[in-house]
Amino acid sequence: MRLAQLGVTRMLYRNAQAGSLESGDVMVRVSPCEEDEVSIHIESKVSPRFSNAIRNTVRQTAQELGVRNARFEIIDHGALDFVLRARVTTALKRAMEAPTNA
Amino acid sequence: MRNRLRRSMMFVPGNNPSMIISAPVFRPDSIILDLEDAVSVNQKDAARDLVVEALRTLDFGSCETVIRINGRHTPYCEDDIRALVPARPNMLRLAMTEEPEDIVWADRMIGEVELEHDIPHGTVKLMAAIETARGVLNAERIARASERLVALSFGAEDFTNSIQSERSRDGFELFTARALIVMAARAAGIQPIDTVYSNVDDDEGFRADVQRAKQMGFAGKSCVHPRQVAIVHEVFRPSESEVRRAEAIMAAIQEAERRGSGVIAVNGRMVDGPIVSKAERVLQLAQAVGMTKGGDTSGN
Amino acid sequence: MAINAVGREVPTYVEGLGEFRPYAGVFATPPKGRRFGPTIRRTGGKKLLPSLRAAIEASGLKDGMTISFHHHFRNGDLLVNRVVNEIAAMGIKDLTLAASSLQSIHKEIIPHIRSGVITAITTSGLRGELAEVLSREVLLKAPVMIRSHGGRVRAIESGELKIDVAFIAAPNADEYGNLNGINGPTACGSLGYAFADAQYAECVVAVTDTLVPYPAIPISIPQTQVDYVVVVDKVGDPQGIMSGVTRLTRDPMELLIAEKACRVIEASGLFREGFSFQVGAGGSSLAVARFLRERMAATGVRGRFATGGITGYIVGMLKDGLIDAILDTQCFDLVAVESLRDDPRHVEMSASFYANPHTKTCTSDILDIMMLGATEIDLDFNVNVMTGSDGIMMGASGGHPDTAAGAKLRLVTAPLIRGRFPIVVDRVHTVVTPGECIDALVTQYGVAVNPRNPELKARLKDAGIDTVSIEELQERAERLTGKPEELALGDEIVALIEYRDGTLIDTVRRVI
Repeated sequence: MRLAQLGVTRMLYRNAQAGSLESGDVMVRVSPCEEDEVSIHIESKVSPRFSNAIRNTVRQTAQELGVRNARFEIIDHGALDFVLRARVTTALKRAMEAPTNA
Repeated sequence: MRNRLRRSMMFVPGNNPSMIISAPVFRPDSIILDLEDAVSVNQKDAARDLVVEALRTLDFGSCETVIRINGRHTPYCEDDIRALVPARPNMLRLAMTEEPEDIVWADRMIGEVELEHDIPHGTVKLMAAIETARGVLNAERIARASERLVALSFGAEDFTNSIQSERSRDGFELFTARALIVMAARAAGIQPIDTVYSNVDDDEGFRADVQRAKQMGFAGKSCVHPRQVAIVHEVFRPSESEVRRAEAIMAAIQEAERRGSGVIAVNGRMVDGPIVSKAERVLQLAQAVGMTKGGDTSGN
Repeated sequence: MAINAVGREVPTYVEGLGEFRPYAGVFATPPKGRRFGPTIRRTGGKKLLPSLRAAIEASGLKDGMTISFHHHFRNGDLLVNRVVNEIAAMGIKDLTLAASSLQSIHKEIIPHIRSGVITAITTSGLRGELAEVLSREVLLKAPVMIRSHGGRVRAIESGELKIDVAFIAAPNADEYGNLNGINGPTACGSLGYAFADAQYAECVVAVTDTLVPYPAIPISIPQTQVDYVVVVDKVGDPQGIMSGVTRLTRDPMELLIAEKACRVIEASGLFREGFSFQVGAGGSSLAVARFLRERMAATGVRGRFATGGITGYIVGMLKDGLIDAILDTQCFDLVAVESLRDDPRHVEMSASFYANPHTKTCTSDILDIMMLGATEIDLDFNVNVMTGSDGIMMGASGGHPDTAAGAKLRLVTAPLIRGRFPIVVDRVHTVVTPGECIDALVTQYGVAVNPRNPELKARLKDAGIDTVSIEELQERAERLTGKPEELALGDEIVALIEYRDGTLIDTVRRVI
């Protein structure tokens, strides 16, 4: 994605989530974070054997979208990599939506 | 490819990872990743992102990838086109097509996105889903509305709603719409695809429905379950004698071309254009089920 | 430690269990010695005792002895927990639990393991919390001995596994100890796994909830082998024992795999008049029977017999005249139980008859077609059915290595990926069945034939069935899933996988 190349940083304005707890899917919850870091907490119902792969994908996707501060909670039910990428993307885009004043 | 086989076009909910991954295993001719009816309003964005990633990552084998995008007059359609085209699906299926302008508009927008992303113009094909009375009546003009358009499909559920009736098992209320769509598509040289049969447990009823569709001139059937795909392929399987006749005709044509003669006859009957194209179609169907050499022999 | 014939490091001596030989090949270790026999005894007239406690006392059970149970009640078994609770209350300890298998319902014995009532276990399988705890902690005096059904019986008959008191849950019994499994509210059908216990245990206690007037006909286990009979209110939970009827899977993926497997069977040359087969109890493994049926109807080929693990679906084939006989070691539903009761062509068989490698003939050696499952299969076609992708025990050796050793066509059906894990791995975490016993793997993405069976590969090719190498299947899976990281394991061995002939084929390490 071009954003990362342009060095643009995107802000998160709200908590958001995407995905589901269904088998083969992953629930991605993201919230804005003060610290300049991407923190990832993984709860894998499946196994810790993909936790590094999951972390890498979350970090990389966040980076591609220009997100540098975020706290992720990942509840995985055996999602393949592209599914995780999609869910992280959706969650981040939702979190980037400016909050509407009710 | 314009005239590839589309006997079975299997719907897969666009927000369901497991079903997307398993779909190609069942070898439908086309897989329709559905962003429309199968996806709730608050998940339209999630489904879109998932389908884009799926297109980029998964091997769909010999299956055509079709995306059913939301109708033109929904807030999602434009986002669907802008997000999906760069991921290069084979085709977009535009739900609720009522006017030829809908197709012209979609064609133009797809073209814009192709250009932005250095994709050769016309790469992503279009299919119009006719799902209302107005759509049926406009089918003939819709079918001619764009070079990009390769097929018309019929959506009975919304159609019966639009004529204020209900679906019945024998589908009498759909007869005219089906016939008009077939004629509109064939007159424009594109493929008509029949509607979904939602009772997944009724194999007998489905088989009869497919046979009727085939008889009416449909090129294929929309499916909602893998077991329907197998039934469709069985129904569209030509008989041994049809295949032999077709092979004889093609052999005669090739022989005639070699000898440079114009008019030929096979078994005492003159063989002209329509007979040759029918023979070609039969052989295309036969090849797909492994009845002739060079086809798929794994029993599909 | 020694490296065995499948390349696994196994101990040659284990504290608390004794010496072991490493696995040397499917039929490399012949039987030797004589059959073991219990003390000749006359119990006399009064066998009916008023309580489990009275029976345990009468049996003379002491610290350090071995008790046994069958697993015909599956997850509806109430007896193991009940007996172990009672034994604990009586202050007896340091016992070896020799169950033919253990289910998740047996998690109740965990506290008794921790407290030293049970200090050793031999079983075919472990599930649920009990399995998890035994995978993560070293609680027993010695590793769990995992034995196949055939291996367990072999060990009992040779005296390697000496049972002091066998507790036999009997759906139907009379006061002199004639037992059967086909009548009563907790009917379970065949009692095949209990025969060896009844024959060879020093003392046999039958526990029933349905006492009938003498004689309890039909007689599966005779009065001549039973010492005591106890009546309890409920010896099993019918819901957990079995279903009314086993439904074939409707999952399109499982059906697709089953259909592929059937095509392989048809092309193998073994699909001919008078063939025999065994299928599983569910999923693709059972669904193969449906496609076999269709092909039998289409071609007129009839089978001679089916073995197993019997469900109502196989009974249907018997009733419809597609096969002539059923040899039944375990019933999975009430349709099977009824058929066993009413149809003389449906015959109960002992685990020895079924799978014992050290007996004159076992049915596993005669079988034509065998459908098998797998949690993992490796590039050598070794199969794991014991541990999951997390290294935790969750399955059973069962009849897997037994049937795979003897049958003519051994097919493993499995989805290529489970969760995010490829079924095909470089090396299975636990070898239960050696690769030389497996002919092909059938997945939704293709069929891989074991290079050890070039004839099968040629036949499939002639039939127009494309095959791929098992390496290609692995690559295909990993392209989708990525490669999983290695498991974190401790040094301690928590289970020994004994091959059917008494040698060690693999071990299970503690999971961190």
